[in-house]
Amino acid sequence: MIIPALEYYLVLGAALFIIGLLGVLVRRNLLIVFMSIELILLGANVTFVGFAVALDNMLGQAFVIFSLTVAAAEAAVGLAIIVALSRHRDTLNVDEINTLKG
Amino acid sequence: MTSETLLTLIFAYFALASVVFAVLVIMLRNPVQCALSLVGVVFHLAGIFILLRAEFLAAAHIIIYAGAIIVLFLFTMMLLNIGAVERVRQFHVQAPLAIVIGAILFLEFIVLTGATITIGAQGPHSPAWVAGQGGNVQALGQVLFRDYLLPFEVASVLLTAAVVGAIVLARQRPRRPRSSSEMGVSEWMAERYEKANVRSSNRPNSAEEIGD
Repeated sequence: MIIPALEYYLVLGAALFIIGLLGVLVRRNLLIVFMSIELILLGANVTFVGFAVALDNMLGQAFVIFSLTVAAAEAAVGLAIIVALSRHRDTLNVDEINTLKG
Repeated sequence: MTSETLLTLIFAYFALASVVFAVLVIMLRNPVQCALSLVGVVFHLAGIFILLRAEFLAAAHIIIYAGAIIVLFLFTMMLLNIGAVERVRQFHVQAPLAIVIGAILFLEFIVLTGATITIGAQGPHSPAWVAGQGGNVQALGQVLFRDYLLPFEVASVLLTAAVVGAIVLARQRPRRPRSSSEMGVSEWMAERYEKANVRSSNRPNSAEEIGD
């Protein structure tokens, strides 16, 4: 039994997810788009832990550790791509990055 | 004041603060301030996790997000000299449309959570079982290293791949030296000509600028 009820945690996770989604859709700076992706992952983590505690199942908490791993790997590779990109194109504006050519 | 209302108040503070910081992440102009707001989000979510008695995950979030990922963001900003891009327009043209769609999606989420969801049966890891293991950290360790050892090892492979990938991507690619015998004469001439041009145009007071 968790206090407050599980629904509050689900709504919090959904709110973080939506804010992150809006960040990805709305912002033009590639770095902030990446931060918004981290926000999406955090919202998913809140939902995982909420369900794990409400259902008395540790798997949800174990899965958050894997989610953290994926977030760290994504940040490392993504920021390396940003560094390489800014060397080639000298911009971080997603509107100007419209070709896959290196 | 009962402990239940107190816990609800604490939850309300942490939830509101994390949402406000999350909004700041996507609203602020300066990427450094956005990164610091992300630190605020992570800290308040750690409070939420402690409220859920998931102490290990609270600590792990602070260490990995605030300590590693956001520091990586800040290092990247330092490397790229971000100040220059601050002046440009920050938001896409379709921002109002995106906000409307996001609001609809959020309402849908709330309706879905308000509906009676049939959640599965209670799992084996009751609070009594967790206490019997000696606490949240020990219980998580038991589950992670006994039942889910193989996924844990696979995660290490993923991290290794990410490290190698990051190094390969961010490495300054060395110019492959081409010996002059490999290329044709005209190509060689063109390259020589281009180099000479670049050199003279880079020099601030080259001959044609000074001259009459």
